[in-house]
Amino acid sequence: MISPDASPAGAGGSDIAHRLKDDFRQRSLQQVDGYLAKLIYLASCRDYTSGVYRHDGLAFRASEQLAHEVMAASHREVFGEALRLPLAAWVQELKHYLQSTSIPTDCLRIWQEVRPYQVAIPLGMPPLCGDLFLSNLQAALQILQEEMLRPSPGRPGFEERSGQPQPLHAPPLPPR
Amino acid sequence: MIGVAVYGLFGCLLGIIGFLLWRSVRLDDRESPFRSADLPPRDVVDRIFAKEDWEFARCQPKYIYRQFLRDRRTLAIRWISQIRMATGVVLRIHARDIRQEVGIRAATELRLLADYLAILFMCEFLSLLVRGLGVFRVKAVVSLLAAQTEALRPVYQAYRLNTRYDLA
Repeated sequence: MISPDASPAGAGGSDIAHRLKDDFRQRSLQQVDGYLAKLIYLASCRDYTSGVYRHDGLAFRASEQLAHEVMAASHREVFGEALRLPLAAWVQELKHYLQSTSIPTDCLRIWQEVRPYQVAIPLGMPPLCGDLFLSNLQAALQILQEEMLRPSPGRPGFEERSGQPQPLHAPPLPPR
Repeated sequence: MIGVAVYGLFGCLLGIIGFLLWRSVRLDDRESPFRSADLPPRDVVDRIFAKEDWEFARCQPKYIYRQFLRDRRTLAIRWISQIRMATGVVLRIHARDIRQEVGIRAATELRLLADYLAILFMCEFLSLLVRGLGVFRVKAVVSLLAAQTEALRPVYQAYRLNTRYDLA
């Protein structure tokens, strides 16, 4: 049984874990362009119900438990780095990510309605970190939607346009 | 006349201390204070109060700017209440620990109580400033409170891991 709370520091083979993590970040994560894409990729490797990360390559090289720990630590690291980005950089990150999909305008609308980006937050982070991430992304979504609705020479919209999206207002942060 | 003023001042001081203690205890009595009082790293706090983001948001349409200001204010108030909770947790566990000790150092305990009250007072003060002036004009007080919080962090982490920490 894999424990979702285990950390590489607590694992017996922490040296192996650190080596695997560095290797994973340099070889696999480096291929994924942009912080948002990296976070979505890492979150997609996490089981929704158990919170356990699955990665066949890492599990083959070490064990399923170690693979989970390496992925969880990498997720926290990337999230911590992404949180330091200013709001303007978030807008670029989001734009870059949406443009990498084949349907950026639809993706933008769906993201505003369903808010699937919430899964990108790693487990066990201080609550305020998650709140800041959500706030930045919601603001970035609104800014991009505004750019799409009213493109100007200084503010180009998306290249692909599939109909006029309806303006949506991001919901306020949930009360705690 | 002077006597009345002194008594009045003393009464006010006691009232403020009582209010601060009442607020921290009230916030600490939630089910799991540890999870909700987990303090974010310093650079995340700096990002919440970053002027750079404010300047960028100011160039956006009004409804986005207003939403941004509301969000940042909510985050700032949450950060302040987390410090209040973490401070309350530390003091409560410390109080539990010293009940089992024989030789209590009164001077140390008084200093700790003064530090505790100073943090609570700063939290209330910053909370008022954030509500009155907004998030982006309070950098000096934020830096002061963040520095105090950094000193609190190892103690809080030790208590969270259920290990003892000598506050003296």
